[in-house]
Amino acid sequence: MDKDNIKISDKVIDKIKQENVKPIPRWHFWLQHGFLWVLLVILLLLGAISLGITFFELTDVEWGLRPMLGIGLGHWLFSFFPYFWSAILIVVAVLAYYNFLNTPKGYRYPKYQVILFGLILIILTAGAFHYAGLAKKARNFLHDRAPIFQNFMPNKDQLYYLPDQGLLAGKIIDINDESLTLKTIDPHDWKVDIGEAKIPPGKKLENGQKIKILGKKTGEFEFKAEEFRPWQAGDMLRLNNMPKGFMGGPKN
Amino acid sequence: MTLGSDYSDEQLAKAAVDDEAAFYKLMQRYEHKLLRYIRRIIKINQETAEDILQETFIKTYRYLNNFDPSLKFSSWIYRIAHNEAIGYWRRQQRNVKYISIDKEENGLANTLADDETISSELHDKERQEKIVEVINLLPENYREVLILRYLEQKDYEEISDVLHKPVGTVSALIHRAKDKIKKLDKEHNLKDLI
Repeated sequence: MDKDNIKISDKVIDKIKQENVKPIPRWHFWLQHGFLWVLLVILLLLGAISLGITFFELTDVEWGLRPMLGIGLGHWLFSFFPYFWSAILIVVAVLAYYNFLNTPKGYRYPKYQVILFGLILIILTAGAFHYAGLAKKARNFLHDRAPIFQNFMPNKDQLYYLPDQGLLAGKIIDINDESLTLKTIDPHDWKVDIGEAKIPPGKKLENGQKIKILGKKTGEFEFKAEEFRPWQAGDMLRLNNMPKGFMGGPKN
Repeated sequence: MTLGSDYSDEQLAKAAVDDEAAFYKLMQRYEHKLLRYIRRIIKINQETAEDILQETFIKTYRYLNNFDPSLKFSSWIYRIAHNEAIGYWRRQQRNVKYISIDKEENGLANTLADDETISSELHDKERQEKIVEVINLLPENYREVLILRYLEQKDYEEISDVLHKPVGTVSALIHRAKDKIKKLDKEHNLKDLI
């Protein structure tokens, strides 16, 4: 054996003894790897929530109203697109990708496989979140509890407040069989005739409820309702709000 | 326990956590190979290479519990040596050349010439030196895989574990490196050498 090489091994053994070098305990690595996997799960969940909220925001848009209101598609999309949640999704997806590459053996997988598998996982989880109504709950929770998020969400009070074009949006502050009073964002109290209006199936108008109304402006702060739309249009698609007994919806 | 040569690297690595003698045995198995590998990937003198090797062994010892027995110990320790060498090169970029094969190092040229995808008949010293020159013209990532494949005799999976690249990428790099050698061979008037 090479003399110099023996010296290297001896030097290393001497150093280990002199400096009392010890192998790092196993639990340290378990913790480190565990942290990476937990972080990855958290990032994927965040990504799924962001995409779920993006799905929700996009399905919440009253696409059918656009031609009626005479708004161009570009402007319409610009007004509604959930930029904030899309940006969060991109940031989280990039972090999750690099996080995965740092997990043990993560490097063994081709990049395109990691990206494709990650995206499929996020899309499926986001779809499940959305259709189970969790995305809506998360969105509304953040909207109500963390006012800062309101800056990043489409302001529907304003977007759907176009009385001259036959659209009103606001909160019901008084209601009877023939009319209701709606407080709009300005704020103004609108007297709305609801005698001949259509109400979505399974829905009931109540005080304090937010609502969108299609109809005609009949005077100053006076409106004749033709049709009501739920504040969050996607509601009708979700399990909890589906007609009784329909597709797993509540039976009682 | 008596640590004979019948112990695998993986068994020694497991024993080394509590037994310095086992670690000593492992170092003896790898010191020559790693010292040569370090000097192949960065152009440094013997003394500096030994310092890097010492650091490699100390790090290996400290991280023994992080060794995944489903991998080859050899790939794992090569990875550590690779990282230590690259770390040194990054700190000393102005003074140190990354991956430059010595003209005297004709093993790679011979191996490549023997490879069925590249034509043979490469035996004299002049030809070998010219091929080494051509290899040194390749981008670093190609030279890196060629060294591991043909000088260190690693298979694709081991190279993947050393360089932390997918096996498919390693395979593609080797394939492209060979193509580039053929191309450079023609460009540099070395026709008929390979």
